[in-house]
Amino acid sequence: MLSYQFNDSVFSPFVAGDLGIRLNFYMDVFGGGSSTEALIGIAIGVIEAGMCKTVVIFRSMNGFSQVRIGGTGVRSAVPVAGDMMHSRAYGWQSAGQMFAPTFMRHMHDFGTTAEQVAHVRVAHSHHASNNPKAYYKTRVTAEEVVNSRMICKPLHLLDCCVETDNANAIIVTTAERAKDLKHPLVRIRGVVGRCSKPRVDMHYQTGPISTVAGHYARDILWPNSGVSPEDVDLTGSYDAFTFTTMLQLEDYGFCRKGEGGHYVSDGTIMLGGKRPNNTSGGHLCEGYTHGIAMVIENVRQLRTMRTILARSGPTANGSTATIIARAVAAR
Amino acid sequence: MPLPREDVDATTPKFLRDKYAIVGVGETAYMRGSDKSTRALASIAVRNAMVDAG
Repeated sequence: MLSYQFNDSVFSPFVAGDLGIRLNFYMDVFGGGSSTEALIGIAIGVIEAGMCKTVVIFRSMNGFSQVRIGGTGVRSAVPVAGDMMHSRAYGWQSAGQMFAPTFMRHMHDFGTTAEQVAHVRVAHSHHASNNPKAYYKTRVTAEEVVNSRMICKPLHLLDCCVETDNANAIIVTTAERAKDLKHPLVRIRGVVGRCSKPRVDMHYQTGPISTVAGHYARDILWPNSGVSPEDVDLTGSYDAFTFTTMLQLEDYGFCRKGEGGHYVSDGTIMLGGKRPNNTSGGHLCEGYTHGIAMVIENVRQLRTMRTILARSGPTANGSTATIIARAVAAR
Repeated sequence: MPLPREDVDATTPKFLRDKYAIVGVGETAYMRGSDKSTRALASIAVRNAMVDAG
């Protein structure tokens, strides 16, 4: 059993005990959005090493009622120490503030507009409107996004994800062992996890700052999986913000660098478009899970479609994770 | 600070491709105010994933 958390959750042995499971392997790691695929890679590794046969990975968080993003609630009592001594000097307390210079630079260098990027929220809200599980099911327009109140330039309220309470889990085992199970097989083609930028502490020291770690991770991901962006029919991206989705899709090569604003606003990422993104509504609308819900959604899509999916997620400090899974009879 | 080389091949052995699968997925509801501990939420999600896997 594997899990990830920010000192805001439960450890594997307790969950296993409650479920009456004795574990041959467990590990709980520190981290957020870059963790899911990193743990999928670790799960493959420990099974390959003969340490266990099947691994469940979970993320459990009361992200609204207990530990919220930023400096409210539990976090308001955390003393400023360590790396925060540096980041607080710039007013950086939460991911939005730390990411803002990256987003602003992208707008400056490539002429990306807030209206273009707002279409990420438009697309995901349309997808969420079909999802009974989604916390926000209401469809929004780009105009509503850019007219919502400014949180941290260039991020409006609707450019930011929803904070929710939830837990999610996925189970990894060998394809051989999975043959007898009831669902169509969803195979793992390749994985890259926690691939970092040259620096992950002060990543602004290594330009161009509008680059995210997918720029590096793609050189592991695509060779591992044996496919290219053009083979991918559907994507899942870490939409902590509308902008992070645009940057990931760009740096993983779904469009050329600098063309992300056009890519996310021309209908490509909408259901019915060439390559829909976050068909559940994602973190912007369904709920915030630190990335694992995108993998769950992609697995569900693969069980019913012959298609190839990708999921990616950079965090504020630049580390990144991606997985590609594919159905049995995929083309 | 010298930058790391960009031509390092960190890709996986080809025999691992398609050898592993995701066989179960589970969730709780997405909510504000769960009134449950993360321990209880995790148990529900993991159990749902096991049921899903069969």
